[in-house]
Amino acid sequence: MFASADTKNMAKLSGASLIEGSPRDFATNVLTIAVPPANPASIGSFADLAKPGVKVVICASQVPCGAAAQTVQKASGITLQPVSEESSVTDVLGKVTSGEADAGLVYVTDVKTAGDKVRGIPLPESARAVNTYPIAAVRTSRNKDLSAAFIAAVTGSEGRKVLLDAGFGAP
Amino acid sequence: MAAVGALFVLLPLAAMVAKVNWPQFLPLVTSEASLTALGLSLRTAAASTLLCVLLGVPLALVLARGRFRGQSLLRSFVLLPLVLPPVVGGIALLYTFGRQGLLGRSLEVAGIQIAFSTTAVVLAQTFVALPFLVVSLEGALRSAGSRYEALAATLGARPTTVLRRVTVPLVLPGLASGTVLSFARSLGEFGATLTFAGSLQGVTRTLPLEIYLQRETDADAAVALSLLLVAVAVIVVGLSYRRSAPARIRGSAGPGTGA
Repeated sequence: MFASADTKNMAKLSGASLIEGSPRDFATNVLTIAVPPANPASIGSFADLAKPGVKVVICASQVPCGAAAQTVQKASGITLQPVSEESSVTDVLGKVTSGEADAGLVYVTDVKTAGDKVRGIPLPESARAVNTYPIAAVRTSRNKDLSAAFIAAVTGSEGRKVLLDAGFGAP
Repeated sequence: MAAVGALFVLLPLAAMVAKVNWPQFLPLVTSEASLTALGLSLRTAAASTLLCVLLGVPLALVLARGRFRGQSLLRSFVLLPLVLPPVVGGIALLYTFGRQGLLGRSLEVAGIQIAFSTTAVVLAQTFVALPFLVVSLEGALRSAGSRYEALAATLGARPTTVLRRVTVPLVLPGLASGTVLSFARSLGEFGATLTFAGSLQGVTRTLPLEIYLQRETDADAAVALSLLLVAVAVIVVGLSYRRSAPARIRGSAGPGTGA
């Protein structure tokens, strides 16, 4: 089975007829603002990130978290001047937890996982860039029953509860 | 076994060349992002190499000619970046020059900000490349020995003359190959840069970081840029070794005939 953090990669597999049936969405994730616990740049909103002198780190537009960051910028009409565009969301989080950056755009789930190392600042604008996570069985699977059972568990009430606890949204 | 060894290096390179999308090669490597990354790589690697020579030559001299307590310990520490994963080097640099780092806070007070700057890239490259220069030069200094230097001194040459006329010509090939290795290592630096400097086009995104990013969406671009990086490295190393070969003959012939 294949679970993807965005619909784009799932579409690649569907397009190549590599999956069984149609994919099922099992979770959503949205961006939020992560700042160091002391919030040195006093960030309170998305607009604050565009203030001069604020060191913001985002993902590069080539990766899903960066594409979401671009969507939020477009939707809000606020253009950021990031000091770095990282290849992965964990690198963005790392720059914030180490205190190098004043703020970073990461997923809600990343802030939850980081515990007290970062503070999350609500980002209402992220509602316009919701990332959907699809899951599907791979056509060539030799364990079709097992992958079907796993997908059922993930999309069922038990899976939903685990995902919600981790900060994901319902599809 | 030599053939196996050569194949072990050449086969992966050949496999990569086979994957190159030749019709698209030129547009891929001449895109704005690629050329910016290449230019930044060449500039930062040149700066790091210069820094390696400035810091590494005195260090190699002290390690080869000096005799003091803790000398072998100092050597081990200087060579440490050779065995450290570059990411670890990046973390160490972050805690030194970063905003919250050992020196970073004083630097920030002085108005110097290193994080997310091209300076950070140069520091990361110098950190990982310095041992190559020190090892090469210290080896050359040791194998040259101090006999010629002592002889020149007994003939009345002052220390600066000895250094200029005897020591430097003797170890020139070692210094040259150390410099080339430092440049090559700086050019390929990835992990420490990513951890310490970040990644922004034209500022910190060197060619290896651009390759890593392109790999996310465009495998063809990543392969094309990889080949470009290999080509640049081969040209630099090849040219320098050809140039240092005659120097080796000159270097050993001079004091040899004198003795």
